[in-house]
Parts: sequence; C-alpha cells; structure tokens
Amino acid sequence: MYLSKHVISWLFFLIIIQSATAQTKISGTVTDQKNNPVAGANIVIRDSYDGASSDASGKFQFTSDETGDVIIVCSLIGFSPSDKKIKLQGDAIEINFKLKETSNELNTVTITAGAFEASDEKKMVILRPLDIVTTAGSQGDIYGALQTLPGTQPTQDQEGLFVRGGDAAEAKTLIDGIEVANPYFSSVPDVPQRSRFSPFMFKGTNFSTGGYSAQYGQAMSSVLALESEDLPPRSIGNIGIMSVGGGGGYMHRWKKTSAGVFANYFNLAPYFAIIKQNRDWDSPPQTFSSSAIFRHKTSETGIIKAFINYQYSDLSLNFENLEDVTGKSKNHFGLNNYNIFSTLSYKEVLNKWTVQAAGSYSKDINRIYARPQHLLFSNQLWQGRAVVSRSISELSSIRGGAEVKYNDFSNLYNNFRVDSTEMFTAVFLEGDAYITRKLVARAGIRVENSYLLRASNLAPRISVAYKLGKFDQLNVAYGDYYQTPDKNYLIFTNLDHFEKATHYILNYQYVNEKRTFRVEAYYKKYNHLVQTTNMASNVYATAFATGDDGKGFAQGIDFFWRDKQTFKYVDYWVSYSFLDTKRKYLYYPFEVQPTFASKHVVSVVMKRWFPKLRSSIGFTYVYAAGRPYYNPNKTNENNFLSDRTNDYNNLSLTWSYLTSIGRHFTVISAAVNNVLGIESAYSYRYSTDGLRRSAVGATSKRSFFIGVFISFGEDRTE
Amino acid sequence: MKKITFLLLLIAGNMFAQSNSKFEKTMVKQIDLLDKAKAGTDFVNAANAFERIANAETKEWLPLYYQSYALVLSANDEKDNVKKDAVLDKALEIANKADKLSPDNSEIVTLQSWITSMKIGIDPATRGQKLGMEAGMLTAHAIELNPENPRPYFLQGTGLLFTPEQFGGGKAKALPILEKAIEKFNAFKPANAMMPNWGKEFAQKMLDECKK
Repeated sequence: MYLSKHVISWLFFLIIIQSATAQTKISGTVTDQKNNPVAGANIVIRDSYDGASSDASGKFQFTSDETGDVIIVCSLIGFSPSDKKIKLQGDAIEINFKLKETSNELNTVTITAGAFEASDEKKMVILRPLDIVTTAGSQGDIYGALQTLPGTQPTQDQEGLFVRGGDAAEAKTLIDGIEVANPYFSSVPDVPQRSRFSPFMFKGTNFSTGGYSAQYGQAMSSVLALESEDLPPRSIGNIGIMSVGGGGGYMHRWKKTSAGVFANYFNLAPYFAIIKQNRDWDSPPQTFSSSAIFRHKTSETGIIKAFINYQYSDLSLNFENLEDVTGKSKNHFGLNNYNIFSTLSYKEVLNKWTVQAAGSYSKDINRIYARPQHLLFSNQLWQGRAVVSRSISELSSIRGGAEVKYNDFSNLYNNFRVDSTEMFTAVFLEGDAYITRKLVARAGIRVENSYLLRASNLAPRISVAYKLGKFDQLNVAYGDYYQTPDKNYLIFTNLDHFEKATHYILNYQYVNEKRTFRVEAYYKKYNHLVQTTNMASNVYATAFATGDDGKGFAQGIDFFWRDKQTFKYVDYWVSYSFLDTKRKYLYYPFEVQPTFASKHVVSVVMKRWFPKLRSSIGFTYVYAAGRPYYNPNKTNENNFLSDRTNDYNNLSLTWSYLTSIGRHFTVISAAVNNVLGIESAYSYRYSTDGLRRSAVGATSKRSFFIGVFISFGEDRTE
Repeated sequence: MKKITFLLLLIAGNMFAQSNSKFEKTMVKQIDLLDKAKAGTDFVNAANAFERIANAETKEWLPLYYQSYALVLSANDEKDNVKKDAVLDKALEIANKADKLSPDNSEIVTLQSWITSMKIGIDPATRGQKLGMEAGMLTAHAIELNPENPRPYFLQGTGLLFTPEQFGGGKAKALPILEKAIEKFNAFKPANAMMPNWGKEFAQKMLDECKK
C-alpha cells in the first residue's frame, strides 16, 4: 500500500506538472541578406503550435510551453527556410534569422545569347506562343512569325529560315529534341512553302539565331526547338473552315491519358480561280494531312508522348521556257509528295535527375515530273536520342546525351538510280555553373561522326552571362558548329570535311513584363563550304559537288524592341538587322554577298485589341534592302552577283474577331498580304545565253485569307 | 489498484481532451481572427498561424485549407504580379496537400478552382484559355462532390459576372447562379465551428452588382 500511495501522489504530481506552464519567451528579428527587415515571415517551433509572424520591422516575439531541445524554423514565400536548434529552459531567448532569397526570374541570370524564347510558363520571355499565330503576315505559320525577328531574312521566293548570312539548310527544326527532316512542304521553284505543323501543337518555342548549346548539332546558323503540348485540360474538338480548305479534329481526355485525331484538306483551285496568280498553274496545290496524338502521364512528373503525321500533296505548273526564242513553249514542273513523321518520347523528373528519351521514324517521297525528266527522291530516317541531366546545386546542373540517326535514301534520275545510307552519331556533355546568381558559365562539348563523310568533329561551346540589374544582363558566347554537307552531294563526290561555322556573340538584353530591348552583335566565320558545278539554268537540274574549300563570313548587329505598356491595348515590336556577309560557296567562284542576304532588314509588328469590337487588328510592315541576283553575263571577279533587286516593301493586315457560335468559342480571321500592292522582283531567271530573262516576283499581287475556327468542349473564354 | 487505474485513465483522458480541444480551440480562434482580418498583413499572419497548426497536426486538412485560403486573400492585395503569382502558387501547393489528406472534398476543390481563376488574372491573354478551362472543370467537380456546398456556385456566378456577354457570361447569366448560391448559403449549416463557412457576404455583393 505504501507503494501505491506513493504512486498516487506521484501521479497527482504529474497532473499538476502537466497543467503548470513553464513558459519561455522567444524574440528576435528577421532580415534579408542585406540586413533589411523582412515582414510576414513565419517563426515556429517544429511540431508545436508555438510561433509568431515577423512585423513590419522584422521583429517577432512569442512564448512557448515547450521545454528542452527544440528546432525553430523561419520561413517565408520567396526565401529559403532557415532553422536553428535552441534549448528552452524558461529563460528569455533572443534569436535572429537572416533569410536568403530563393532564385527567381528577377534575381537569377539565364543564358540568352542568340535565343528567342516563346513560353507561357515563364514571365520574362520575349514572345508568347499566341504571338506566333496572331502576327500579321505570318498566316498562322511558325516560320512566318519568326521572320519578323531580328537576324532573319524575309525571303519571298523560297521557304526556310535564312539566319545571319546562313542559308535555309543551315537552320534545323526539332520537335521534342527530334530533328524534323522536312519541316516545310516540298520545295517548288519560286513558290515558297508553308510549315507542315500547326503552331497550336506546341507549348514552347525556342528559336536560336546563334551560340546555342552543345545539345544541338548539324546546324550552322539556327535551331528552332519546339516542345509539344502536354495533356489538354479536357476533351476538346475543333473545326476550321478556310478560303483554301478545311479540317478538324478531336482529342479525348481521360484522367492520365489523352488521345486525338486530326485531319485537313487544302485545295487552292477555287482561290486561284478568283485571285489572279502570277504563276501558270496547271494543277493548283492540294494537300491532305492527318495526324494522331497520344499522351500519357506515367507519374506526377513523367509523360509519354506519341505523334504521327501523314501528309500527301501534289501540284503542277508551267514555267516560261527562256531557251525558246519564240517564247511559246513552256517548261513543266509537277510534284507529288508523301511525308510521314512520327515520334515517341518519354520524359521523367526524379529529384535531381531528368531523363528524356525519344525515337522517331520519318519518310519522305518526292516524285518530280519535269518533262522529259522524271525524278524520284525517297528518304527514310530513323532517329534515337537520350539526354540525362542532373542538378548539382540549387541552380547548377550537368547534362549529357547521345544521338543516332540512320538515313536510308534513294534517288532516281530517269532510269539511273542511286541508293545510299548515312549513319550519324553524336554525343555531348555540357554543364551550367552558377558562380553566383548573377554570373553563369555554360561550357559544353559535342562530338559527331558521319559514316558517309568518313569524318568526325569535336565542337566546343562556351557562353557566359552576367546579370547587371533586376531586368538586364550581358551575355557572351562562342562556339563551333558543324554540319554534314547535303547528302546528295556526298553520293557522287568524295568530300572530306564537315562544313563549319564559328560564332562569336555579344548580347545585351533588358526584359521586364511589358517591355523588351535586346541588342546583339555577332561575327561568324565559315569554312569548308561545299562548292558545286555552275548555276543550273533549269529549275529541276541537279548540281554536283566539286570541292569543299568554300568559305565566308557574316557580321552584323540585331536590334529588337517590344512594348506592351505605352499604349493601352497595343502591343508592338520593331526589329532591325544589319548584315554584312560574303561567301564563296555552291556555284560562287568568289567570296560575294549571297543571293539570299539583305544588308538591312526592318520589320514592325503591331497588334491592337478592341474590346468593344471583340477584335484584334494587327499589321506587319517589312522592309528589306535589295538582294544580289545571278546574271550569267557578269561572271568575273569584279561583277559576279553585283546586280541588286529593288528594295522589298510589304504591308500585311490581319483581323481576328472573337465570338461564339452556340456555346462554342469561335474565331473569325481575315488577312491581306501586300495591301499596298507593291510589286517587286525577288530575283531573275536567265536563258543559258544570257540574252533573255524573266523576273521572279510574288505568286500574286496581293493575297487574301479568311477562315472560321470553332472550338468545342469549352463554353467560354476569359 | 482500482484507484490507480482510474487515475491513469483520468490522466490519459485529460491529455487527450487537452490536445483535441487545443486543436479545436486554436483553430476556432484563428478562424475568428481571419474573419476579422482586413489588410494584407493580417492575412499573411493568419496564413502563418494556420501553417504552424498544420505543422503540428500533420493529419488534419483544415489547417492547410485555411492556410491556403488566407494566402489567396493576401494575394488579392498584392500589386506586384511576380510576388502575387508566387503566393498563389504556394496557396495551390498547400491546397493540393490538403487534397491528399482529404480527397474528393468539395471545399478543397472549390479552393483549387478559385486559386486557378485568380492565376488567370495575372496574364489573362496567355493563361485564359487553358486555366479558364481548368477552373471551370474544378468548379463543376466541386458541385458534383457536394451539390449543397454554396461556395462553388458563388465562384461560378462571380466568374460569369466578369465574363463578357459575348463569351457566354454577363449579368443575366450570372444572376440565377448567384441567387442559387445565396439560397444554398441560407440553407448551409457547417458541421462544426471549424468547417469552412465563408462567402455569403461576397455572394450578396455580387448579386447586388448583378441586379444593378
């Protein structure tokens, strides 16, 4: 009983202790790294209710009933939490915290040399994906919008991105890291072609005009890296009816998966019947496209994407036969194209690791009838790519990857057939080292091998960026960029070298949410450019490589200004590019300004939103100084390519009207290209004897477009 | 021995009652403070207080719910879009945490929808289409989970009120929904003093706006 009595009194004592309060007073101040007081920070004793918020002067104070060793944590949005161990014994404790800001777009430098990024996910980007489709003159084509950015050339007689003195073959397009071998509809002489892909497929567009990372190879001038959309928020369908055709599709959304099919058909015959064309069309272009998209989330951060696109197109037209003195006979050109592009990609982020893997198969067949010639080009491409990256501190990271491309192609020239295969492999390793938040260095190395060329290369890339203030920064970049010569030259001629460009770039940019100013100076040196036989006089003739000792340079300065702030509802940008370039390549026997290069290019893009009219009206104005053109009568060192076309001026207008048909969100869009009807020659085509010529101008004086786009599955837009 | 057992039970019961009532008492006190909060700092302090409770009570969804709710209210006062976006991201992260503890909870889904539609306001041109769809789906889901919850109706009505007529919004469309919200508010009885019970005054204001 003594024992139990003892126990009872002890238990009573426990109850008293439990109820009694041994309070400790805790106080202190919270500051940032610069000793400025920080208000609103949460100070808490871990696993207890006890704590307080810091006031406007950064001070806090509270009492706690806890005793012994505890951990006290101080946290605030935008700062890294800080914790300290203290012992609570009833004596007042003073404890101060110094919080460090977490990295964000305003306090951390990023690599920007050469890059134009369009993204919805970041705030400080130069473009939004929507900007691409709403730019007048672009006609909803990604490349059309990119041609309003500095560093690019507005070439109107052929498709492609001509960047900083580089030709279209020097620019590569990638979708989720996979090269798109034929991003445009098959080339037709003097008729520029559109891109094969809708801009709505992509959530991110990264367009680089130079100095890009070791992740990208086989592009001497430019890389356009497109990132496809993830799962749509819900099932969605759309229909488009246009002056040139129509189409539609539906994508179904399940919890973790989405799948959809899209198809469209374009035929320009009705449009050509109304709007007079400057080309002698035999059979106007028609295109059938169909695609299927599948996406599946394998986890919170993992996603599998599959995409397959099939396209068929055909057309035929006649060209003036300049060899015929009577001018009565014609040269005929007909084209059938079949194109398949497919990708399968996987991405997963696990703690510090990011893994990306992708595979692709594509096939392209061009059948060309240019009487009496019959040509058939067939090209199959298998690609595989894997990239692994790991973050090594808050900001610094390292990544490595490998690429394999197997290209199997066959060319048929009338009865003469050539088959060949190219095997290309590449590996790269690259690191981003943040010395401080204001200073970052990216260094990378890329090694490539081409089976057909029987050569390897090693390309170093370096970029250093320094943040000057909240919104502005400086960036310098250097790199070697190699490219395998066009495979059609490699079949008949033994070439020994990769074509090579070396970039030096100095970039300054100021970007806030509403305004952007960017200026970039560059110098580019070209080596081992392929040289070919003489300028072909026939539109379909094939040139042969004669050597690879072509060379050249490009230097210039690009300005970009964008302002969404000054005028209400108005968003405008202005680009100016100065380009000084000369090269000895293809049929040029001397180093001269190439036919695709304009010395001065200005573009002004303006969009205004009219809320009452529910309309967006925009215009794009482009000026380009005259370009050189080939004249067979001028072939010596002093006068080769010395002729210049007239300056190019173009004003395009676009109008988009937002409404709803029933409950379905609808956009009605109309556009006019070359409103002022200014006629200019882009180049001239000569007869072999150089006595007769014909100007290559726009395919029509003005072009018009009207379309109605309806979305299903969403009842309203904000 | 009986006495000892009794005492042991007493202590255990006392401790249990104390901890449980401490949670409830603190929550009710903080909810009351939050209801009276006016300026941005009051909301931040309230969010911090709920964060502290959530820290200790790792199995309860309510402290997280209120932390997120208080953050959203504090974001309303924030002028700097970059900061506002960061606060809303944090609010969404906390709401998602609450959702893990209490899945298919109409109140949490409503909060997720509200945060999503507030994120649109930072850059409507860019975010409108995608997030608008997401917010609309979340509101519909919240109603589906509990048709008697007045708050998703209130969000839906407010959303319609601020959507131009041409895009399927406007006063005429918002009015019946907001009237329904008020009706549901009048019938709504929270299960206990800690349960969400906000929005009636806002809803009334929006309804008055509709009738103007």
